[in-house]
Amino acid sequence: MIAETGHFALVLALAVALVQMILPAYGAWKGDHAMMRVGTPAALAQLALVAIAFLALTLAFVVSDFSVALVANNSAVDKPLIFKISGVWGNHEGSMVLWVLILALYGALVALFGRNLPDRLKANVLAVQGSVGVAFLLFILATSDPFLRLDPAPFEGAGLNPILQDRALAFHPPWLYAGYVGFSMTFSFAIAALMEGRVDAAWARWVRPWALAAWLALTIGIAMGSWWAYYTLGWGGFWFWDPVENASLMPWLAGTALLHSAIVAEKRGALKSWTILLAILAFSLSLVGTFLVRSGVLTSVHAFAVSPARGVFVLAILGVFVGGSLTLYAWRAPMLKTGGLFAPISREGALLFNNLLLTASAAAVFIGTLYPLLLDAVGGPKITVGPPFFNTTFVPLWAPLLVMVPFGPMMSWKRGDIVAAGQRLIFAAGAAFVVCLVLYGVVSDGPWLAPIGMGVAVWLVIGALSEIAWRVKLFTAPAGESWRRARGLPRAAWGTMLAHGGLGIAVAGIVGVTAWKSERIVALPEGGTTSISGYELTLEKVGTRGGPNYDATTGVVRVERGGEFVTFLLPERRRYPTERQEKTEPAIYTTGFSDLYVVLGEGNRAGEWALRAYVNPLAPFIWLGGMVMALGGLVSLTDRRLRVGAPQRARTKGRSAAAPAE
Amino acid sequence: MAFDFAGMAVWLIFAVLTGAAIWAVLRPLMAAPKDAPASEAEFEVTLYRDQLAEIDRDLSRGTIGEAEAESARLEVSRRLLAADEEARKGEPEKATGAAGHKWVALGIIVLVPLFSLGIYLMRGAPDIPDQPLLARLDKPAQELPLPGLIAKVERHLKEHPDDAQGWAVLAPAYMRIGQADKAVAAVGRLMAIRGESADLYAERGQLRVLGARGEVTDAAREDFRDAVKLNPGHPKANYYLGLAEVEDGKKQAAETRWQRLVDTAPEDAPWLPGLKARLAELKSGAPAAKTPPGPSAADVDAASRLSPEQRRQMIEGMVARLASKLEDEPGDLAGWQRLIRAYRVLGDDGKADAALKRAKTQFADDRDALKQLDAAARTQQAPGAN
Repeated sequence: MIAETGHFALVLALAVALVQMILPAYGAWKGDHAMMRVGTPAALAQLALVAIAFLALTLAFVVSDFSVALVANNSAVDKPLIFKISGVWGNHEGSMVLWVLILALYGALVALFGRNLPDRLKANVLAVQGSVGVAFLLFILATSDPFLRLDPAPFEGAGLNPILQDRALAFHPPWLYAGYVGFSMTFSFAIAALMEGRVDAAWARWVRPWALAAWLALTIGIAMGSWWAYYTLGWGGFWFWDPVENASLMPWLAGTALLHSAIVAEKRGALKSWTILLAILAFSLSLVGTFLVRSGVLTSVHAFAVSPARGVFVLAILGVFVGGSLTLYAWRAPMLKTGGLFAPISREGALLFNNLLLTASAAAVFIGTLYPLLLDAVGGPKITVGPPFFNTTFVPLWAPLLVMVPFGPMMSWKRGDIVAAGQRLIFAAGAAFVVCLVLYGVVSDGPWLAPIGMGVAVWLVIGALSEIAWRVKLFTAPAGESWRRARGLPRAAWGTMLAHGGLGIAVAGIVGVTAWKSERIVALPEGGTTSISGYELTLEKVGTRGGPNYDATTGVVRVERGGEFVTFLLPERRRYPTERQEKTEPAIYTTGFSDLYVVLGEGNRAGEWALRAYVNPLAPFIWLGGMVMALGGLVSLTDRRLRVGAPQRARTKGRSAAAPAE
Repeated sequence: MAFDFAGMAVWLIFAVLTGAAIWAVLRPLMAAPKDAPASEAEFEVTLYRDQLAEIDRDLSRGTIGEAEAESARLEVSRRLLAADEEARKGEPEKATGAAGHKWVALGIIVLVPLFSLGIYLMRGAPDIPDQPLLARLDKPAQELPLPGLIAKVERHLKEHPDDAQGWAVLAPAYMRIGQADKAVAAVGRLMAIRGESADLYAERGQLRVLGARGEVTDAAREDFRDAVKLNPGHPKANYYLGLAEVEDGKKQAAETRWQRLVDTAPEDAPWLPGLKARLAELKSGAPAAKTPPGPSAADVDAASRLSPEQRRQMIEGMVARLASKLEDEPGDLAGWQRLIRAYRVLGDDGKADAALKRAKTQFADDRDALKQLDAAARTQQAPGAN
């Protein structure tokens, strides 16, 4: 009954999405306000229905209802509750339901909080959002129905891939999807603007918070995914240029560009057409990301869906939305009014520069990811594009970008003064230079570029702090004055500081791990000792222990430093009998500045165990930086200036009178 | 059954959901005409006013210079004037009421349920009730099929892991559903409770052999040796140790071992005729020489527990599962070796070669892996496997 209710709710959601797609758009075209208003309840109803379906599916997983084929194929009785729940989206069908749930959630948010949107814009936005819903619900029901039943039902399920039975990965997809799908919102606004043939100021103001929300979620999702890869895959890497990782990086790059160009569109009315294009691109790349992971064209640790029929369907969705929107853009964009003028050296100019580099790097990733697939598809040789390609394309594009980041916020709108901006950054530049020199003096190993990389990281962090220091006149004005100014700074300024500073922290982590990682692989008997970077590791014992749904071979590794006891580490190899798979569980000891990372390998006949140990300097900074960036996004999102006032005839007069007084 | 409560309730829920969705969507269409809504231009006017205020704030914070602020103000003011003008002269938006939307509403009322029900009925199964596992297991044991019984005993053992009887029931049950490794583990648990014994070691060794499709694996040999240590004359352990010796080419040793077994066996031992036949084969040399001993010898034994058809199904099921698992995770070298060997043993050379080819492309640049794959591919077919 519950499962069937979920199934029916999903079908009904498709019907409602069709209504949401057709009526408001028709109303907007005909100027019929009643029809336009259908969008609001339709979006809310769609959220309710998809939520019912999602809850029904979750319940089926929780109570192990193996009469639902999806549950039987992807769950098991012994699994801990948290992984029964995450198992809902640990498979293709369920993850698509989650996708649509988040889509419906965004649609409902516009419906609820969009009172200050003009009727026509809101109707068109909801209609476009509805059309995305139609496409994906149709996709689910036609090729990936999660509610198919089994009768008689089996008594045990096939379980969930042990790799996915992990806390970070369990909650990685919801964030990632919140990011991907969030760009459907900016996409809907872009298409609505093109349909109306006008981009008004409200439009630009409205796009920004959605871009910010999507970017924030995607940043968290990517950071979690990379963190998971770091501590699960067992060789201490954090980014592999794996196509699935690239799939999430591309919309992030386009989204970051969109975020910055939306500021220009909002504040100065310029770059509107470019912002629309970026909104389309960000969502298109999200769809490509979905396609890459879902169609099974990739063989990768993440690709848990393999089915050509689905691939063709997603390809069709891609064709309609990407092709359709770009065609619409080519047709309507030239009709848009152009905005204000600005000099090349200005904040607008700096943001445009940022946009160019970000989109170019997105293009580099796109080519590196899709070229091998394309070549393979047309019958060419099978090639792989590995890290060398990305290092030689991505890094040169990002180097000037990183150097330019602190300049942006220091520049004035319309016409800036690069010399003055440079003077304000003199302290940051000095600090970066000193760090760079000191590192050359102190560190003898590692690539020669590494100290420069650390210099860039310091430049970014201090540069971000300098902007705030300058704004509040720190040290140049009395402390009280600075404090007053600091409190008066808009949240967005603090958000910028956090995001740019977080980037610097992440850069430091990336440089540290890449350049100065040390590694040791040994075979140790019980009681054997090895050392790495000042740590002495003793494999005291190897034993077995049982988990809720696995048996583990656990090594007890005693860690000492200079004869002082530091900690015990317990790396494991886990065997999952239901899934008949193994996974290694590294143990990590972190000081906050570096990680000691230990992996237990297989034992040999001589009673020795393979033990791999890594010391990854600054590794925690990578994810700390990511989290600080996301926090910056969150702080920005709470800026009251992002909330647009609705026209209320009686009040507008009073407000306009009050405004100049401020 | 047609009018049971749950069966009715499903349709009732569907009806309520549909009704609520239609009601929600229709509300704006059926509402009385409202005041003319604010036009786009009016929204813009509000916005530009906000922007003007913001320029002043930017100026006071120093984000923007005086000259830039002035020109920005000019820019926004120009837009504000244009928008304001438009707002004044623009025709008030027309507000349409319920009357014009009768047909649209009717369309929704008819089409939404028809469409939903139509699609649902293609795939849905309204008559299958929910079947949460715990509720299903809450039945008398005799009403449960084997897998259900296993699940029930497993749950019981989770709470009472020291119930030897439970593990003793589970081991053969696992074997019947083709889960040899679980069966092996169950005997291990049994041994941990009851203490080691020759019978249990031999039993576990035999399960390992069956699980390895007849090959007397290292782990199995270990078990049989342990059994013989506790009871030198243990028939089952000695039989399999003999098989292992045949596998290793030590026919003489096997012959001696089996002969001693036959000599000391009670007259009415059920396994005696089979063993005698194998011994005769071994002595005559001809078939045994050609026989890669493992599989066919195990056939004899396995056949005593399963019918040939059952056995074949069991093996084919395992092979198919392995193949589909490798589709998902092609990086599993040991899996490929097992699969190739299994196809060879089953006599399906075409599939074995195909699997070998796929595995080789997968491990193209790993020389050790390629060597191991080739070794697996040299496995010979089991006689009588077809």
